[in-house]
Amino acid sequence: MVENFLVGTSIILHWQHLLAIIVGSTLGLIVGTIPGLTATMAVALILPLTFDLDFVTSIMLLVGAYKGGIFGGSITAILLNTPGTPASACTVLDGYTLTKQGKGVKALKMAKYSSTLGDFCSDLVLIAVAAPLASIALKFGPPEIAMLIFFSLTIVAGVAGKSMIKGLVSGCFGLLLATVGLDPIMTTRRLSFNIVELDGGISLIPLLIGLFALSEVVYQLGKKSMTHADQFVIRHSTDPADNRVSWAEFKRSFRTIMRGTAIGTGIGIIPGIGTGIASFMSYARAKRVSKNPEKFGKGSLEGVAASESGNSAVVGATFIPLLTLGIPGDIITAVIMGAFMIQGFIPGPLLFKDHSQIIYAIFIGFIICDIVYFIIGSIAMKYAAYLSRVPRNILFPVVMLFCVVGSYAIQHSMFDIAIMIFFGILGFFMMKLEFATAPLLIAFILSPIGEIALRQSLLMSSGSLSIFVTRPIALGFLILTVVSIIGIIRSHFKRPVT
Amino acid sequence: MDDTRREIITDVSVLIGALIVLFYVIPTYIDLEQEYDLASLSPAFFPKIATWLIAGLTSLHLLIIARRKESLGPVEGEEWLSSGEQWKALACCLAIIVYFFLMKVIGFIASTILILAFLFWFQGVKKPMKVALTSIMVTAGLYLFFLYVMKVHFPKGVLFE
Repeated sequence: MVENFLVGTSIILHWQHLLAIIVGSTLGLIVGTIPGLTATMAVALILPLTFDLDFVTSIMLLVGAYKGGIFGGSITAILLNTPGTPASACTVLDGYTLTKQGKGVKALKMAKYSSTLGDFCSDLVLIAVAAPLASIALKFGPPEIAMLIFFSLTIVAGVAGKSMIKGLVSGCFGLLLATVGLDPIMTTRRLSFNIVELDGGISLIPLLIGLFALSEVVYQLGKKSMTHADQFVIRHSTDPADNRVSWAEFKRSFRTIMRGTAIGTGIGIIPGIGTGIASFMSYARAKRVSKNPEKFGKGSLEGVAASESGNSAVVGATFIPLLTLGIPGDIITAVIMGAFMIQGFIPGPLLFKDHSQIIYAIFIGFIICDIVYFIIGSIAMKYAAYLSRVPRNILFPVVMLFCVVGSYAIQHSMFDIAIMIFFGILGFFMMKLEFATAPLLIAFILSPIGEIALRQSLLMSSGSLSIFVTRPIALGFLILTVVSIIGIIRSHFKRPVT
Repeated sequence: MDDTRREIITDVSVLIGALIVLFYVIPTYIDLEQEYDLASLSPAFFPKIATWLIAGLTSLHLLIIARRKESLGPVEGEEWLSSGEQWKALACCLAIIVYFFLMKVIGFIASTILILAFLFWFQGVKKPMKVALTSIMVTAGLYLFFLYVMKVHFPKGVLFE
């Protein structure tokens, strides 16, 4: 392990990789800061630019954008009452109140400290847990893999949207879409409608750019009231104490940060839940155990710390299922999984066996990312208000253009643009009809592995389903799936009617 | 539209779609002539499972919605787009589709300048000079970046090839 770390460090310290981290973090911060643009959109639009880059550079660029994007969202949440990304929706509660009190800079600094600390600790958990988990996962056979994917998809579908059934329908649609192309076992043409371009299946990148970027652009283009950030006036206090976080204030919030980190990390490991829920759960927990719960929502620094540590701690942890089991933890890791596959690396336990030094280089890159966005974040905080003044009536048509160009650039194919437009419009209608898009993407990515594993399992057992209950690990995943379904249904019934 | 009615229409549409896939698309577009000893060997095995699941889950959802005694109430316009905004979004979708076909005919540069100009104008940028200059500059910048940095050659269009 020590050797892997040393070689990994020497790999990541190459100027190209460091530059990728800086560029990725900066782009992520910029996109995250602009309301209406999300970290997912940033990663999806950067992905086509990574084709000509080497593997570590491309992953670092995307991870930088992911981390930077999540933090960037909190800047406008605090200063302008407009969360740049859904992950920072909870930060608004206390962050903007602090800004109204003239303590915006203090809130931003607390957000920066808690985000970086939460993210850093989550990365340490990733580093500590990933390799041992991967060695266990290496023992999985087709029945275990099939049940693991079944379990993951159930969780993703169950928690991704308002309705579990709709989430499952969305996931099943993703499974169906992934069957377009050649059958992986018999190599027969399937559902390609005699279109040659579909013989290789639906391309992942146009699909995800359409689902997660173009659909959002169409939504934003439809919006009548395009609020400009220059309507907001940011009040700054002249008192130096209001513009910094004192050691005593940091110490008071430290336990909250650690609690938020634990919650965020735990949520990140479970596929599909994501940063938004983590920050709200962390905030709710911090309020419940706080000595001054009445201050929450009225400008509590602890509130900012809880929300930010919670959402940032998800980031590192979402890579645990991705790197050890090949299961993406959320939409962004699903996009990054696409980058792995495009570069010829299949995420999963074999990565640790075949490319351990590269994986450790990426791990160290995660830590460097934290440092980089801590530094760049300080600069971005000063210019955030200007960034959010980018006229949205210019911005979204330009983003639409990026969607088109990004889809085309991969294979120089007009058909890919058509695919992207189709999924963009589909995503727009899915948003309207409240079908979560995350299960579709994750099911689409996992479907080929799941299909092969399921069919191989049934071949092994001559078509008997008993193979899934006679093998302990497969049975364990099956029980977990049933328990999760019951848990999700119960939580839906308990949910207060608003 | 009432939320319950919208849900029912959606469910029925998805169900009909799933049945079309099951009974028309899969038999037509998957080679099922060869017989297999095990059902799981058939190329139609997995698509059928996925489609049956869609049909089953949608039926279940339909049943839950139909049995619900209270209406979910009107669709909340504040959370999503209002009717006018939805038409605006759909007009943008249409413009993007037209852009795709236009690109095939007149190429990337001309069609991109046109679509950008249209979208800027549609989004309320009313100064013709600003619309024209921004469209040309953005298109040129992106074209040159992708051509020289990413080595991507955009379509020239059937008219200019």
